[in-house]
Amino acid sequence: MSERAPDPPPEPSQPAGASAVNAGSGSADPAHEGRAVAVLQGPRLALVGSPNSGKTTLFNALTGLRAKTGNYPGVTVARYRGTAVVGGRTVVVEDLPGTYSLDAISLDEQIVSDVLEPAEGGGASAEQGPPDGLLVTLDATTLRRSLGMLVQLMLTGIPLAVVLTFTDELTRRSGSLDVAALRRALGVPVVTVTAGRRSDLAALREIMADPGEWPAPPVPPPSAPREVSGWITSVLASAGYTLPEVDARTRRVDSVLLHPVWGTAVFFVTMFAFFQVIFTVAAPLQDAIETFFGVLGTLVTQNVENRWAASFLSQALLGGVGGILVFLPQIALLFLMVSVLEGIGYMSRAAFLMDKVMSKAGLEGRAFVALLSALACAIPGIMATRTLPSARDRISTMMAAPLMTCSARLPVYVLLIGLTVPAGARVGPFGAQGTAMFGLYLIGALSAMGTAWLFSRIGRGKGPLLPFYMEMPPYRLPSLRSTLLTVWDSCLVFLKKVGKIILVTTVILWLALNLPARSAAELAEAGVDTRDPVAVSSWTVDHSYAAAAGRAVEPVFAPLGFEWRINVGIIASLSAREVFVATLGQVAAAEDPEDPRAALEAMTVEDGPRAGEPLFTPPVVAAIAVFFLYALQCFATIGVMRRESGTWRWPAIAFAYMFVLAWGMAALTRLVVGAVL
Amino acid sequence: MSPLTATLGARLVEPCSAAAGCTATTLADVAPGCRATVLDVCAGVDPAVARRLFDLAFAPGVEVEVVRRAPMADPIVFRVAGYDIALRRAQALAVRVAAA
Amino acid sequence: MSAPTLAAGARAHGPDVALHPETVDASVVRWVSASARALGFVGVPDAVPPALGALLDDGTLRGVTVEPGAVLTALTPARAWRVEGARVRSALAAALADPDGWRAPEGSDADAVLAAVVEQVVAGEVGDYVRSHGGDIALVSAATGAVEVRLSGACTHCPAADLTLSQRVEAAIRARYPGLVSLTATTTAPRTAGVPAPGRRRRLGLLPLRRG
Repeated sequence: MSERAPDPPPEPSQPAGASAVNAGSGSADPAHEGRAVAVLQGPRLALVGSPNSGKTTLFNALTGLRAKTGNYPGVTVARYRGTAVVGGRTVVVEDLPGTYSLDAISLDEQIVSDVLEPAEGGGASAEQGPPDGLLVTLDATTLRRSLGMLVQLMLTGIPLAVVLTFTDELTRRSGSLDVAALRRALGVPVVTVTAGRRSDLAALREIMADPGEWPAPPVPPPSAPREVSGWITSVLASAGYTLPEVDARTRRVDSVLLHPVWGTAVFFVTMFAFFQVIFTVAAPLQDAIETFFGVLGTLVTQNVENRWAASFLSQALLGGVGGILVFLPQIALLFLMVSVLEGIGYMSRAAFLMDKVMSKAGLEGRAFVALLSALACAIPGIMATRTLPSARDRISTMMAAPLMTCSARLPVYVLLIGLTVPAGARVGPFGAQGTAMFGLYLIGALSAMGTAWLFSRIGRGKGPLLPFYMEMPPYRLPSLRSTLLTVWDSCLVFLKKVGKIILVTTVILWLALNLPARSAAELAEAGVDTRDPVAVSSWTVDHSYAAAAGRAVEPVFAPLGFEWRINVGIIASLSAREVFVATLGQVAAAEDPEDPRAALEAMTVEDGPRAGEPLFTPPVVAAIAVFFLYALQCFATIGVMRRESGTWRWPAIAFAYMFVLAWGMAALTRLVVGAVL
Repeated sequence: MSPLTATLGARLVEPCSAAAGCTATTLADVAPGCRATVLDVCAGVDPAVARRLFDLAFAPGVEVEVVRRAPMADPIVFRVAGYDIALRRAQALAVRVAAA
Repeated sequence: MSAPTLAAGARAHGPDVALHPETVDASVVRWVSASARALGFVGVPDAVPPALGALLDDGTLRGVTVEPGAVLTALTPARAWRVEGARVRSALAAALADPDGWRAPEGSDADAVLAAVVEQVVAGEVGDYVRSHGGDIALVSAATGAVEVRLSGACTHCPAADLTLSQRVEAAIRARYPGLVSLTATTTAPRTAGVPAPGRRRRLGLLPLRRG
């Protein structure tokens, strides 16, 4: 009886002779894929596997900090590429999105199919050709299901090697598997990799250099479902596979965490803690960053002679950089918590509990976390949409997230409520100011759900209705390394890709507010006391390009009761909503621009039929509040939307629809409040 | 469209031959804690969905256990081929089963 | 759910033919399939069902050999498995679904199958395990479900030999041949010079098994 010899020992020194089919594809990366990738040689391997199969952990273990992230063109899936040095050669490893099948029904799965088998003249990576080899992660505890995916991958004809994960868990749960027999039955290299075992990785690295040398089965597996079932049964039988027992620990934990009462209670406690961490733990860190940049700004103002240069450096540049860094604590914390919850396996439980509620908005349970995060800031909220498996849900959630009342709206609301609602007033047992604030939060949340529903309805028209399915993985301890890498990666991406956009817009807005530059003579001629910096900046802003723009858009905002000075504030608030407060303070020449209430209350309408009347009447204030509730007054959000959706299309749509919504609702509010009062 | 996409898209999940005549229940009707054997995926369902359910191991002849339901009876966790997966009622309704 | 429906459902998806290919050499593929055990013989069949016979007739295949739990198919030179593989698989699956269509070669009975099973185990991982410990194992005889093997080398004085025999060798044979009745081992003592020592016989307490 001839036993098939074990896999030939890999020869790392041998050139990739058999991978000549794809010769050069490893180094033929287009320039836009990143400069670092362009210099690499050696085979290009793609990492494929189902979600929860340990794919990302393996990717991180193989490539670590050498990974580069990007987006697939036109699709909202992060693309991870990294390099591993194997026997002196650099192997490019691409982490493909986790998928259960190559029979794509969602956009994300389409990417995997496109990368593996580029269609003629199109597809996500048609310019590259297929990878030289596939590393397929198979979770040993779900082998029966996973082999179906392996069959599809074998049908691509690309050399592949199986990386068997969680074999330790299989043994713990009394399952069994003969790896040597599995190797013989599959006819491809099979390497077991157990988390934290370096020797396993070494064995994998050894074969990675030469995908062309990997053995393949004599006859590729069948594709018809019935035959596939037979193939899987036969392979598993000859590999002596027995299904693992139910993970008793997971069942016990689930009986609490998924309990109708206790589970729901734990869920709300977890989400409350989650929100608290993003909101309150990040706050001191953010304050520290703001204070630091404030101090730097003051130093610059004190030490730079030229008033204009000092202002540019302190407000535009330092303000811009500070405005970027201030988001970092929230983003780092969000991703720390999301990846820990995800790694443990709680995220799918939370989604399971919330799914019914979220389905009312046309979303699925997993969108809840993203919308919750958006209460702190739309940016982490939009970044958290990465956890959603369907591109359509991601877009709907992304479109809805900016409507959740973020922390930047708070100062604006506080100012506006302070202007109209008396501090002592009460609505029943509650303070009127607090009630008004709660009302704004509630309207924001409801509008977000409504928007999500609308966008998922629109999206439904295109393509088939995706079935909802969600694996409930056993509870596992996440790898520290993977968790930290996720956090690091998210922060890095935010700084690199979104930071640029925020910085540029901050500088542009500063220029608009401070140009044309005024000489002392000009100021004196206009009767401005040049020794009073408040008067000077007030006059400069009043006569800046931004003011001109504010006047130019006056007809647009007139139905809302906004005068050009409010318009300047709205234009300035595009850099960040809270800037509205300080800008109005500057325009009103308030003593303390950060608390301009007294100065604003005294402001009157300059001209037109209402000339001389107070500017901030209750209907106008209500209209401003509603405008801020709906309008996408935040370039940082636009930037992150661009980054996460991969195109300018979605941020443009979001800005447009939210502006129209804001304008309409503000006009309506002004009418209604005016009629009621 | 690539050859593989075409091949996979052309797959037909054959129902069990007796399924046509029998008044089977659906996976959504099986009580938590009970088991059932998959017969087929309803004819009215999008073939892509039927193929995906097959790829998720809801293949004709496979035994499925209903593990638990979410607070408002939707979604439902099933145990199939040694792993747990949640489906919404809408998908569970599409899978015809014979109680085991 | 009524009982008749249940029965109908259970009958409907009877065992499909499960099989997968393994490489023997460039032209020969071993199709491992539990269904091949139901054929009840080993060797080159005198006749095969028409689905498979057609491939022999049209010159795609040059030979078919039955092994315990597998069928070897040899491709005619100049043909490629990549091209013919799917056809051969379908034909073989159809043939295995029809066990009555096969005719056993002269003299291949249940004992021949059992002997082949033991040879398979000896050549496989279990044999490798024994050899890796410095021992050796060989088939002596297989008759009416009773198997006799000879242990030699390090096994002679190995206290774990009994355990290996019952837990590994017997389990492996039983997995491939459930009709195994007994397994007996003869130990040769190659060191003993002079008087040829009678082989120590180890009889394992095997109960006669029901024939499936």
